[in-house]
Amino acid sequence: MEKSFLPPSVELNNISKNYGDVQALKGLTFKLEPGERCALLGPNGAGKTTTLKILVGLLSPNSGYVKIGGYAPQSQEARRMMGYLPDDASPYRSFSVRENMEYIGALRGVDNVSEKVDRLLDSLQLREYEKAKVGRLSRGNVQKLAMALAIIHDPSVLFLDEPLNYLDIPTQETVIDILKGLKATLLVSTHIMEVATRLTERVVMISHGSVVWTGTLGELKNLGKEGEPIERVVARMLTDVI
Amino acid sequence: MSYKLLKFVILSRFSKQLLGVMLVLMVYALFVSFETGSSSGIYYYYGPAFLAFFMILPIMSGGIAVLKSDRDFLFTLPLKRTDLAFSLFVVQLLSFGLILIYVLAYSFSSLRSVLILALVDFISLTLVITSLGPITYSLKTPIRVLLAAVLAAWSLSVFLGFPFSPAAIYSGHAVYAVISSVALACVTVPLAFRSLSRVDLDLMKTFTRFSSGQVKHVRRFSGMSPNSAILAENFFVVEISGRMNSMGGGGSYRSGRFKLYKGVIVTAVLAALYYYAFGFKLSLPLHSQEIALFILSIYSIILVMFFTMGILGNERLWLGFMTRSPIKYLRAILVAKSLSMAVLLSPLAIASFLLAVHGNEQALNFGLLLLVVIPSLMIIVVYISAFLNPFQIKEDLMMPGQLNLKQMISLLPALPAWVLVAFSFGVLEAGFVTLALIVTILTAVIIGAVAVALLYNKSLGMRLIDRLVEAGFV
Repeated sequence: MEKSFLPPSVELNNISKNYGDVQALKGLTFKLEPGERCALLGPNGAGKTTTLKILVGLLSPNSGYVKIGGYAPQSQEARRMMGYLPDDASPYRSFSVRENMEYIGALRGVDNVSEKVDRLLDSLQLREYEKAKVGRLSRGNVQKLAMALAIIHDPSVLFLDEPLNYLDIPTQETVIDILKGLKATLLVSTHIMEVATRLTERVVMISHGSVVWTGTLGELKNLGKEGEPIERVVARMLTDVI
Repeated sequence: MSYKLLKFVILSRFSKQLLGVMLVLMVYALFVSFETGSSSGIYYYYGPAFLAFFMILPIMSGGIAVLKSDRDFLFTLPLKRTDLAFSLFVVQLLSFGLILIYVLAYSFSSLRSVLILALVDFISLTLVITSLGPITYSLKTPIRVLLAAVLAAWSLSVFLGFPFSPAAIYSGHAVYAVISSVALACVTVPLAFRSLSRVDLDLMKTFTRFSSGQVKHVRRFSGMSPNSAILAENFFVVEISGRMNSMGGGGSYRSGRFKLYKGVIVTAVLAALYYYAFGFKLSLPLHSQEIALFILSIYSIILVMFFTMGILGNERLWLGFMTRSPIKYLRAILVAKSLSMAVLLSPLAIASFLLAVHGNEQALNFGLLLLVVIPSLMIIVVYISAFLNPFQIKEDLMMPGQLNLKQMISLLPALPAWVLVAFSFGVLEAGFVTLALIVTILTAVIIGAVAVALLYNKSLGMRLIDRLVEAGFV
């Protein structure tokens, strides 16, 4: 990747976060340059979801700072840049699919919301559910809608937590194509290595709230023996640090 | 009969502390009632009015106390349907029945001369009210509204001298009251058991009924500015959410939405009726006007709880709160909803001010309560509920979580309003018109100022959002 003179898209510096007596993050530090695509890997309870919630400004760290494109995550500038898809995302349940998309599009200040919604309805095969209430959708269709809501404003920094959960294989391919087509900095939290390898080129591995390894996917593969699946390499690395 | 099942079903829905406190409160209510021995005529109004309320509550908001884990695990176990139905019925009884006994127990003192009949009447009515939720939870809204209206009118018919009403015990027709309530219980209890024994099948049917999940008139937000979209959703549309964020009040969750102007039409009609009834035209005795206004005030405060519960429970942090500074979004939706409430209640407030001009000082208090105290109280209750017991609605028709003691504490902000209203009414009755007005204005100013201070306290707002995230809000 070319050296950029822009501020990093994502910067976490020495972030700590406690939930009561439990320390979820301990001095977490990493950066993503503009356009970089990175996977956030770690075992259950490593602090991946907490990291994403702090990055998007929904949770305040106890210490350290976060910058999105050089701005604090709660600033209007940062919020314009960011898109976020949480794990088990649930849109407004009493709204229909279209109402959800138009409402969030309007709140995001998207131009020509209606056209944008039409395009997303077609590309994510949601057209037939346009008037359906979210509460009555299948989990897979809810996930498609959630993806549409996360990208409706063409974010330049996108945070995704298990983005392909609940999706059938054809839709997974559609979503991968859509995400690859975005010119956005991407941070994908996932347990599934195939998701990481399909969507990203770099890995930040965390455990017990701290970064334990960072590098490219190629470097990660090279850590394994010849022919060893990448999942096994990751499993060994995470087991070693637990 | 499996006692283990019963114990499991009860404790999965109610914390032990809540059950303990409910029991203590009930015993206290009975004790106070018998010790004081008051036989004030107030119960002639209080009894039927609250009974009507408790007929409406389970039908409109109660449903049945079912957890998501019940659907996924409990209902798939090879249990006897009769045991399951009995356990679920007992849970409903705890959910609605105990609070009914607590509220109406105070009126026992006025029924000493017909104590046995009164007990039979109350037991039957408790069974009826417990049964109404399971019977009606799967009915369509218009049918539920109709049924609630009929039963409420039946309860209130004692004011017109009708003896065959379950509430007629308060008008001296004890035997007819018992006949009415026992007959009603004989119909509703078997229907409730029937409904509860097949609740798992009903839930599946509800969830798989795709056609009714279509929105008939899709609302359009295209072309709106962000602020207009917030107003369109939070001011021009009123959402009533159906789980009392308090003890009891049923388990499942429902929410209803209607356009503000339609609500204003309804409140305007009610305001006209209220003005007609309380104005010079009907020349009601002053005492009955005072009691009726007092009861209306209490009802109005209860109404706040209905409007308040769903505000954050239905929000999505990853959507609305991501579109601008979370504090600003929170402030925007709370202000919009609070103003929406004020507009909705404004016809009744205007009618009150007009009555005040015609010499009914108490109506002035009621008007201020409607226009300032209640919309402000809504904001305070949102904050307190969010810190004490936040719950996000992720499943329809399911309990979002166990009912616990903290939920009762969420009611505390309503308490000073309640006490001050009672105080101002009491002072007014004693003839201190100016003092009553000062108390009401002070109440309005203090509660309004607290609401505004909460909205503009940034660090508190951020802590509130942290609290929601930590409580599992998505």
